[in-house]
Amino acid sequence: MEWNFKNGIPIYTQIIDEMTMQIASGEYSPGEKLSSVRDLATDAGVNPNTMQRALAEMERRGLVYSERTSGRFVTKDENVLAKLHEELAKKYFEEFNEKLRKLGMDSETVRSSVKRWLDEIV
Amino acid sequence: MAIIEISGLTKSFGELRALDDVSLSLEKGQIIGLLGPNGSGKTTLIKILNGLLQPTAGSVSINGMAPGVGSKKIVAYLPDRNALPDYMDAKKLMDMYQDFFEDFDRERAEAMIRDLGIDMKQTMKKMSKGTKEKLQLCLVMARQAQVYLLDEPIGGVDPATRDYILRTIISNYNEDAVVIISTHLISDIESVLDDVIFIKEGKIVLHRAADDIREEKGESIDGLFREVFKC
Amino acid sequence: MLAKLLKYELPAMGRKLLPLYAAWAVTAVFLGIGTQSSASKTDFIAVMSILLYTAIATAIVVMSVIMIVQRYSRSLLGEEAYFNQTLPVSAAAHIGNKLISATVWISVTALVALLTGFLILIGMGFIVGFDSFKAEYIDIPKGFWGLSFEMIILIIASIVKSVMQIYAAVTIGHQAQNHTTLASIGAYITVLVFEGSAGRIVMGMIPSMTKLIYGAEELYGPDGILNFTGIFIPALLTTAALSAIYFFICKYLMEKRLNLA
Repeated sequence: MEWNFKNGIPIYTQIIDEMTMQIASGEYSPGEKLSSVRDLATDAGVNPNTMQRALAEMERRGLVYSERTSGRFVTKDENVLAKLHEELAKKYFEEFNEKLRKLGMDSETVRSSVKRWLDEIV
Repeated sequence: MAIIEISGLTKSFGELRALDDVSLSLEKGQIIGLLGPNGSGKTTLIKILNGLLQPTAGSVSINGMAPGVGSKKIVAYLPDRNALPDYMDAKKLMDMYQDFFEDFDRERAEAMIRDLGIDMKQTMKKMSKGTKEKLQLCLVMARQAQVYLLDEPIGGVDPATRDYILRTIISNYNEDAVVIISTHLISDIESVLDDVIFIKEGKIVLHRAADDIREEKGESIDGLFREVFKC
Repeated sequence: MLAKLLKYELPAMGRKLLPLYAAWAVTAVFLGIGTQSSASKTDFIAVMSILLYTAIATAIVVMSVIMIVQRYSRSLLGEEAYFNQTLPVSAAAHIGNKLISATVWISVTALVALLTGFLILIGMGFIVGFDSFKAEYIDIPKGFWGLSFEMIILIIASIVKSVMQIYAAVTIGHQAQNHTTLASIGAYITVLVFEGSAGRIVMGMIPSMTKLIYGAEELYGPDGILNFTGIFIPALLTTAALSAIYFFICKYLMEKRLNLA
């Protein structure tokens, strides 16, 4: 289904974010072949050149790699994937932390609360 | 190399300057939005590229040719009105396209007509306005043209059809062709555009890559459009 | 490309005319039968069929004229031009297509008119072979066939010219940005005036042209009958020249001055 894009952010960066998320969450498994640029573009409802640009950037970051004849694949490199997880998790935590800070919690309160919540939930 | 070159193009209708010294150079492999409110000169520009209007001053060239038999072979045009003979049905119209356009892909047209649920044996006269628009678009997009000039392709169709049309434009994309979409409904199409051209009172006020605009201005093309064309 | 255009144009015009032709032919037969005897019971049929026959004839003529104008103006200068003028086809082919189609259908109408004449005769009971008809009624004069041939050629040439005259007027009329119909009528009158004066000049020249071509001394023979063969070639040339002038006016305006509303 067509993706929803936010206003005012380049579409190619939104594609990168979305696909990176899909790789990290395992929606795309390591080594999986990606559809052609045209098909991906059609699915997302975006211009093929934009999709191409996004994939090129992801390739530069090592998230996907291309083989000349057979197409584009999701990376199998576990280091890259581990790093990706680490980065995304850190990003989420930063957002979370920021929100709690906005509520007026200081770092000590955050630390103790998180610990308590972890025990309660898990 | 630019496939469409427009230089110093002016078109006057009596006192009115519909186009005022327009110069543009458009490259292959792009989907370009020609955006402006009604009466800004979009249709005039497209008509001149099709040879349906003659410039008052300046010139246009398509793949190095002035509008004429040669350029018409490689241009697929969707007019802003229904221009097909109304006593024909879809089948007859496909026959005609096949006869006159070497680049017409009949199978593709049939598939699109089927997808959109158009009755092959219904004459144009009996079709609703929306169905006529869809059929006309199918015929135009089924050509393997080098230049697509689409004047308000999504004006009167429902959202599902609009999505289908945009998908068709995307999947039909090839790097040797340029697609020019004129519209004032920007939010509907902005995600498929490479470049946008803003046209206001016959003048080009902006010609840039869509993502550059989003990155730089931090707003959507639609948002910028509303700002530029605010009344 | 001309052939492909004709493939669509000829049926498009025929579509409207053929049913009328059929109705016309049927009425002709009834007309013949109705006038066959003076028996009172056929009077009603006779009157009705005469009325109907004339009405259909008028309808065909009126419709043909409207169709000739419309098929040209609408498809090359009006709404449908947004499709037709974007076909990879030259202006000359477009104009030629319309001209040939119009000429063909006018000629067919003339033939059908002739046919209805025969049908009336057949209806009246003159079911006779042409040979006996010929032997009984007509003493074909010498030179009849040659003269007929020349007449037919000249008639076709003048149909072509008349059609081109309309096309030229319509094309000139569309140069006006508003009121194109009015402008077309104005242009038509102007073209008629032009042709009238051009015609007078040419007619004045015909005797000397005839002399030049045939060495004939007089346009009229000793029996006072017009020497038709004498004026055939000059008349044909004049008609052809006028048609060519109109054709090039249309072609020029369509190639260089097309501005669709």
